[in-house]
Amino acid sequence: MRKKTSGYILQCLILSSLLICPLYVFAQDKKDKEKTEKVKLYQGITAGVEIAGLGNYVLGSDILSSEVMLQANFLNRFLPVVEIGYGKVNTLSDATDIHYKAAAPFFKIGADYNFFHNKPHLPGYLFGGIRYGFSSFAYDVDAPDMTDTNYGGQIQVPFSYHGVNTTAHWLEIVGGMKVKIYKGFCMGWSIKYKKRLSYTKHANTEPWYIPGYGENAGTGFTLSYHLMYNLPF
Amino acid sequence: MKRLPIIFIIFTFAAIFMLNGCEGEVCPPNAMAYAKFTMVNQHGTAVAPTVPTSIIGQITTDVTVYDTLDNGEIIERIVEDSIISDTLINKESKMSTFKVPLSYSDETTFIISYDGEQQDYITIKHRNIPYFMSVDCGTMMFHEATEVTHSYGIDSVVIVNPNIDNYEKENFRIYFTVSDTQ
Repeated sequence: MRKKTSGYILQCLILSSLLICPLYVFAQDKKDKEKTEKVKLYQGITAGVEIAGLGNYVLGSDILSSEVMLQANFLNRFLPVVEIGYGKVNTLSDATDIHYKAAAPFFKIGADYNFFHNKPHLPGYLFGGIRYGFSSFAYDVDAPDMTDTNYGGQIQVPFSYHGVNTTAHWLEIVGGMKVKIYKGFCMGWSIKYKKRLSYTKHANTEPWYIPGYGENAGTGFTLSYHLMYNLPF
Repeated sequence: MKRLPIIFIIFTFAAIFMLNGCEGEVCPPNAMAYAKFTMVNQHGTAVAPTVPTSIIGQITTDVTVYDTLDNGEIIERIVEDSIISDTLINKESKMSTFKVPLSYSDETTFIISYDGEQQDYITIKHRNIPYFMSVDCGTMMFHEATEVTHSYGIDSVVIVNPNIDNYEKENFRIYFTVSDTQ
């Protein structure tokens, strides 16, 4: 249920972005010939917030993950970005009766490249980029007592680990689109391919959920949906 | 640039496709940790007993029992140092390797019974490692073998890999002296 809710919300958000497509059709009525002009180095800063994770949480997901971003624009082509977010999970599995809890901030730094840098008349652009992310957090795991299924089932071992400290590092390869919706306001979605670099191992547990990264697999995909505002300076 | 809307649509549906494709749990195929034994002769060549062989696991632990008194009252009683036996492999033929679970105690003895006629035993002292990987996969018990002793019918037992987890590998090698004519 946790995952399905997340999937449906993101799919709705992405499909809604298709409504923007007609804007591009109108925009293409302009001549595509862009005059080669001297482009200013500094083109501005965009602030944004990721809302898909917030939406999932409001609609009942056990996982909250959201982030704010600040992105500079150089030459309308290079877009360095800093993202600071917060990830929280408090879940109890119906199948295994295991309770997992973690909450921590996460940080990402990277840059995007505007593939349509020479088409500034368009109301949006496609981009690709890369991020380095890390999070330092502690988690709690509580599980039912472990019973030996052999040897008469006489021995039981409790399972409870609290405050397990972990640091995780990962890389993200990002691709997506950004479109203007009204004056300085923009929206955009992106696909992120995540590759875990490392995490602190503990003798008895490993983190199931990493704030900012998601479920602790070697690789994975995430979809994000941002609302952004181009700051007036 | 007339292809721009098409590119957007393709990207969108590709994203939805990938999102659906990525939903799935990855749990280890073996939730149980088994200790794997290999039986070899003095030259290191695999050998198998010529008779059907059973492996019986044995531990010593305190056991809770419930006694019913004459007046119908049920009382709980702990019987200390009880021996619990569990037949893990029953009369298997031509067995040169076998996999058996260790107990949650700190010592497990395996009795190798050769068709009920002769017996050898191997006692393993081990450290138990409760392990959590995912809320969807449950908890697992791994072990680390620290010491092994055996009966005189066995030449030696070597700990090849002390870590007993859900990745199958040779953990113990049992050496027998076998005459070269056999």
